[in-house]
Amino acid sequence: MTPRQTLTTELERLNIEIKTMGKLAYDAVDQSLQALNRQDLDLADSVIERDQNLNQNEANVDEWAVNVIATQQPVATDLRQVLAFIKVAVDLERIGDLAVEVAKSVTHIEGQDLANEGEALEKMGQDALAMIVQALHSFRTLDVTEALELETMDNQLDQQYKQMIHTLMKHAGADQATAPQLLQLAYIARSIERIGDHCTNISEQVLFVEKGERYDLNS
Amino acid sequence: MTEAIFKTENLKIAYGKNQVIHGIDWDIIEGEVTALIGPSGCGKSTFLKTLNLLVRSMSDDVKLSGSITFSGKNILNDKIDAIDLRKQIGMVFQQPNPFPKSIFENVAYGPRIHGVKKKRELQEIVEQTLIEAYLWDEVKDRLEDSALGLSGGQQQRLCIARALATKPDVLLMDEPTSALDPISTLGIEELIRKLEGQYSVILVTHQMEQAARVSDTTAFLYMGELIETNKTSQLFSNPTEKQTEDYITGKFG
Repeated sequence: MTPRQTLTTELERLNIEIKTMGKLAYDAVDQSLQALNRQDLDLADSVIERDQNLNQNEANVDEWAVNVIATQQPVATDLRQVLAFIKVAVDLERIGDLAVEVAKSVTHIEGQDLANEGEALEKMGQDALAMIVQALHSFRTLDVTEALELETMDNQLDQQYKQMIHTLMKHAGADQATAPQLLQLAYIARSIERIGDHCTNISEQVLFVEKGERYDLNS
Repeated sequence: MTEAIFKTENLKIAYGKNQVIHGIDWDIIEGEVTALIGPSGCGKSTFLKTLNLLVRSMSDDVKLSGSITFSGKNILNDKIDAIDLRKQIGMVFQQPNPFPKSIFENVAYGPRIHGVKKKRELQEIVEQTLIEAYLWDEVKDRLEDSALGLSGGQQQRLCIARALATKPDVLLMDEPTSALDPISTLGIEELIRKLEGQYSVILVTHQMEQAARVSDTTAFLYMGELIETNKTSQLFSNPTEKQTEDYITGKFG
């Protein structure tokens, strides 16, 4: 028998739940962005409705992690892995919430023309999706190099966000009538930027599990 | 500044041709609870019994080399009187082993053979020591009863009291809870925590969780080598050595 078979099985179960959450969070962001591009209100509504699935997954991770600590007393890497599962679950749940924020803004914009900002937002969204993929992959494979790259990706996303706000402010100055729509676009940009921050949090957990040290990749 | 209660240098221990400890250099910190963990046969019990030279009394062909400095002296030197040494270094074993005498006599035994004669003084020592071992309230009305009538956990606390009665500097504990039920075990662990600071406690345990719960420093011994000594919180959350990690996470042993 493999040593500590029960612990191994429980850790694998948590790993699979995180993978499921990753898929749900990715889909939520992806679909909220599609809803934005196509001004598809039905799709936006479905993103909002499905968020409770992620909430349930996060509750599962919490419950299973508590059980595995109570019954299996993991130590060293195993213990750090369990703590990382709990934290990553929180980040993925928050990414889901941010997708909901985007979707809500889409419903507020209600099919108005996105002016020239659609393309820049689309780029930000695609970059955020790439960050989710890389953060989750680095966490699954505990690839430190891949995890560290998230810092640069996040800096780039932050830059795009600043540029976007700058542009939106200029528009608002030129034509006050568009202000409500511009505000929603600013919210969306903010949500996408925050998704990037949660991705760096996930990568920080890779470093915690592998090296037992705390890093700040979002400075 | 932390001082070492024991300082071993290139300590080697062999039973005949069977080398059990392969040269350990280690400063054991004074006033701390130090736990020694490792798989069966790694030499942790032998190491412990060498610190009070009990290993010499238990085996004829034991060979000790290197040095163990305690109170400024190398105790492996022939001029050391083992009886005197054990007054300063108490020991508690796996099975509670009270003498088949009264509770009072068990605790008074050590001080008496070390020269305390006055009944009044002995009474005081017995009371103080039983208080220290958190047994006084349970036995104060039946000090003349046989120690063998106590529960396992009480007997073990009595053995700790007996060891403390000679006012030692060190308490060696060789798996002190392995014969006890979980509640008595927690009682002994609680007591060990309370002894911290007043005594240097060195504990050999098979239960890693026990080392994690009660000790300040944990040492991992494997095949006669000291693989790692570290702060307990560090050793169980992020050990320095790969072999320690593999052992405590259950990958071998």
